[in-house]
Amino acid sequence: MEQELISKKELLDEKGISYGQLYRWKRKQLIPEEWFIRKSTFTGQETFFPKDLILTRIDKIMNMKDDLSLDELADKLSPLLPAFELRKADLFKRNIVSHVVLERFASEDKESVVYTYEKLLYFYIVDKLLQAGEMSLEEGDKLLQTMKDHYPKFEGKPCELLFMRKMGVSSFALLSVPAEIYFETGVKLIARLSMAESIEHLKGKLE
Amino acid sequence: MTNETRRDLRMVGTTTSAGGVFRNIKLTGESRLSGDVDCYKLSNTGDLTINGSLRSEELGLTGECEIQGSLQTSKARGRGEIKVSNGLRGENIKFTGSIDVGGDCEAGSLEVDGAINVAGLLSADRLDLKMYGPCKATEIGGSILRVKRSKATRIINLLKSSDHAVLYAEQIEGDKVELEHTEAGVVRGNHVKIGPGCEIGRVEYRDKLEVHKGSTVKEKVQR
Repeated sequence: MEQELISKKELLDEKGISYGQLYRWKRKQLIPEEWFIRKSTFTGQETFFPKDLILTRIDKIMNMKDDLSLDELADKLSPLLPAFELRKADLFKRNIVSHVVLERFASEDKESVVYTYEKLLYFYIVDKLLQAGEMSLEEGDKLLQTMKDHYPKFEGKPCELLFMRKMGVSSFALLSVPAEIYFETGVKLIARLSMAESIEHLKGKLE
Repeated sequence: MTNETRRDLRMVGTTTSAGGVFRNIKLTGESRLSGDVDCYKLSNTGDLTINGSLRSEELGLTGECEIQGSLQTSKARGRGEIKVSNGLRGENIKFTGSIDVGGDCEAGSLEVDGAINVAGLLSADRLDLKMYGPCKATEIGGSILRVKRSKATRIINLLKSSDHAVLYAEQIEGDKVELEHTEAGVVRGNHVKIGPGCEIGRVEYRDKLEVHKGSTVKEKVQR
C-alpha cells in the first residue's frame, strides 16, 4: 500500500491550474505543508504530492472556491479534527461504519451516547481494515486501543498508521510523517495509511 | 478571539515588557517584548526584539526588528531591517531595507527595495524585488515574479565594490517570471523573461521565453 506520487508538473497539467494558484493555496493552508514532497530527479529537485490526496483536495478547492473565500475554505479543509460529533444511533442509521464494528466495539455504549470525531475516526479506520479483509476482529481490539492510547499524543500533527505481521503475530504502530521505515526480513507490512487521509475520507462521508 | 478588552501599550526609551494581547502597540527606542505578542497594530521606531511570535494586523516599522518566532500580518510597511526566525506570512508587505527569514516567507503581495534572504520557500502572488544587495532563497514561487536590480546600486557600487546585488535561488516557479541578475538552477513558468546578468541552468516554459543577450541559459525546454 505504498503511496502513489504525482509530480507538480503533472498535477498542474492534469488539473489546469497555475503555479500562482498552487502557491496561493499553499499559503492559505489549503494544501498541507507535508504534502509537498521534495525529491531529487535527474533534472534537479522536483516537488511531488501524494496523488490521491492532492487530486481530491484540488477538486474540492475548485468546486468550492466560487462560493467561499479562501479563508473560509481553509477552515473547512483544516487537517485538525473537526468539531463534529455524532450520536451512536445516527452512526448506526447512516451506515458510516458497519454494524459488525458497532456491535463488537461499542455494544456497551448506549444508543444516545455522543461520539467525538476522534472516536468516529477510530471506528472508521477499524472498519476500513476489517472490510478490506486484512485484519481480524481481535486485532481490531488491539488497533482501537493503540489509537486511543497514542493518537492524541500527536496533537494533530500528521501521522501514519502501520499494521504489520510477522509469522502470524500482528502489531500496530503510529509514526509521525514524513518518515522512512525499514523492517527486518519476514515482516509483512499489511497496511500503511495516513491519518490525515482517513480524516478527509470520513469528513466526506459525514457531509 | 477572546472577549477581554484589549489595551494599548506604549513604551519609550529602553524598555522591556512581557508579551500578550493588545490593541495598539507603539514603541519608540530600544524595546524588548519577552513573549508572544498579538495585537491589531504595532508601530515601532528604533530597535525591537520579540522573544516569541508576533501576530499583528498592521505593522509599521522603522529601524531594526528581530522576531524570534514567526510573524503573521495583513499589512506591513517599513524601512530598516526585519529578522524573523521562524517563518513570515503576510498579505501585503512593502518594505525598504533587508528582510531575513528563517523558514518560509509567504505573502500575497511582497514589494521589497533592498535585500531579502529566505532559508526556505519565498512565495508571493506578486513579488516585486528591487535588489540593493545580495538576495537568496532556496525556492521562489508565485504567479507574478519580478526581480530587478535597483538603479541605485550603480552608485552604491562606486562606494563599495564587494556585495553584488544578485539573487541566488535553486528553483523559481511562476506564471509570469521576469528576472535580472539572477543565478538559479531551474526556472519554470508560462511566460519567462530572462533579463541581463542571469545565469540559469534550465528554463522550462510554456508560452514564451525571452533571453537577454548578456545572460546564459544552459538548457531551454518548451512544454
